[in-house]
Amino acid sequence: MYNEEASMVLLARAAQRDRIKRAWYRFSRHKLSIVGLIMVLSIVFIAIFAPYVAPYPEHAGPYVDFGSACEPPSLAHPFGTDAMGRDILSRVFFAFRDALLMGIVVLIIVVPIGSTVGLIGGYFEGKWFSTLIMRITDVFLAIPPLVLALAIAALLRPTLLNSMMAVSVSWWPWYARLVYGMTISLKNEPFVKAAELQGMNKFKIMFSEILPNHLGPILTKMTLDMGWVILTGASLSFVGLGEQPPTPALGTMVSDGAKYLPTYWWISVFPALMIVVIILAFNLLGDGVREMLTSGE
Amino acid sequence: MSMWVYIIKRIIYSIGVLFGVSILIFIISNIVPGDPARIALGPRAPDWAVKRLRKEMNLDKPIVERYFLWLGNLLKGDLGESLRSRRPITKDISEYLPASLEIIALSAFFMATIGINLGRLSARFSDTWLDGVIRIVSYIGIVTPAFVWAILFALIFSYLIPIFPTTGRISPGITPPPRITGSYIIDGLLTGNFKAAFDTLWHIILPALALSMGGAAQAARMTRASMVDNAEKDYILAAKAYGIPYKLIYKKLLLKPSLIAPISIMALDIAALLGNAFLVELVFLYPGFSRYGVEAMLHKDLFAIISVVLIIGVAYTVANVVIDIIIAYLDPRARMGAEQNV
Repeated sequence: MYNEEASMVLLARAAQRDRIKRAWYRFSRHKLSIVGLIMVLSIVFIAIFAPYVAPYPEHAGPYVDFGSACEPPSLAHPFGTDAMGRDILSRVFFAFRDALLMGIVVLIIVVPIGSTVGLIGGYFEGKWFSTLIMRITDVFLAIPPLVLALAIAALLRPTLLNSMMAVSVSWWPWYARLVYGMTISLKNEPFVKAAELQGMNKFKIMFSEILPNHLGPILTKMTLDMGWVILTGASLSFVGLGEQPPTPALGTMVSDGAKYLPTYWWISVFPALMIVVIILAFNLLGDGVREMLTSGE
Repeated sequence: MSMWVYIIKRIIYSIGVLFGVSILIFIISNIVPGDPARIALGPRAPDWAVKRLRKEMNLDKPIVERYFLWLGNLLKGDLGESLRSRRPITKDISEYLPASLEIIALSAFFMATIGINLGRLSARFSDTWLDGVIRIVSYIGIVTPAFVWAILFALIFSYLIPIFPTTGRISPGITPPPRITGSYIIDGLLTGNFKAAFDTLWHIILPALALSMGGAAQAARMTRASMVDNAEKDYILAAKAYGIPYKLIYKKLLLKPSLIAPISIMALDIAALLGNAFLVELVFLYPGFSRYGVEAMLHKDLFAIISVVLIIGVAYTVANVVIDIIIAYLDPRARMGAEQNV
């Protein structure tokens, strides 16, 4: 008896190892997914260890050295220096921190809210409250997220936390829409009907029977969205409605640098390219995640 | 017949959504911490002035009453007064909006021509080096934000190789044409002032191109995907088997159905352009609607912010209705689906 149980556990473990192996195979079949993964890991590594990786960590703050202002890219300053004489590479490294924080916090807020709304809307489709919440979702979707986020950020004080709130308010409807559509297509499946006939609690059906089937698309969207949320955050700071100087923010660095075009082009171009790199990294990774979760099933 | 029912239903639904948008925007405008009148007048304004402005802005009334007062004015076309310029917002916007619409129209044109043609080329030569290059380019196009394109284009095409002007809407030496529609290009053409029209067009090429890159790249990918997909379908095979020349198959049978998906995506992108133009107009110091919106936001000009968001919401919603109607017209399947749903 005992032996049988133990072997079952071993078998289950082996099966799981097998699944992980297969998932990794599907992910790594495309070289670009690996590139994306490496890029994302590097960005995360740089963000976490910014004080140690950055050549001039003290330049992340209100540091001023007009003697070395606006120096072109060189070995000492690979991205050049800005109008205050600060090393742009170091500031970019530190800016990764708040950028990633922004993406993570917004997704942590938005995904549970959006998914819950979508689940309720989809599972109780036809009931008045389902109609109501999905209409409210439609109202949010009627305003482009960047504009809604800008307007909210404009009315609040310009801080990182408020930008996160502003972006979150404009982002949850997309998850509600996604989960709503998927829930409607699943709610008449036999396994859901079986759970209903057994008298299972409706919320339990929604969260433990239906939701697990949505995790793949949600995870894919989250990976892709990391880049886009970070871009929206950068757009807020670009306009001047995000984090305030001297905290390094990618958007602020780009818009400040734009004043010095074309002579001191590196001040804005390198932070701008770093925004592209972040979006590219998460898009490549997201494509890989999608490949991993959808193909071969 | 039922197509019309579908369209009318769709329009009525959108009016409902817009009503919701007006409530949402009004609620958001009320989360502003502090007193909007005080913010507008500055910390040193005397109390009586703040009190008077509060009365003017109806801030002394309960929120529900204020909403209906605001909505009533809105329906009369009165968006209120800018707290900064003390001018009617409708007037401000009627000056700035045409400038942005010029960019958006050109951008939509670029998006369609560049996107669909790149996609066609990519599908025609699928799995060759050309296809590979186009696919990489469109991936880069998608992940690069419009304002980054704006900076790169400005740097390359107006500073490094000075072909295009760097900023503004019209060169300082050229007098803008008298106002008829507000669009310098149209007004210039109407009044025979071709120089002004051309100069304006010259100014908006780079911003429009920067704005269109993302949508064009997306459209290219969609066009390629659906053309490659459709090329393997039975009806194309049948046509080939009948010996119909490839050019004819391509034109008559392959291209049209393959454009439905990219057109619907592109239409959404075009509708979102008014929002995306925000940062691009800043880079080019272009006196457009988006820049007006940003100025309003930076100065916490409450009614102007509300109006800008509302106008973008209306534009986006109307565009969505138009898209649905176009798709229903283009795609018999969608049309039949709509008929069944109604």
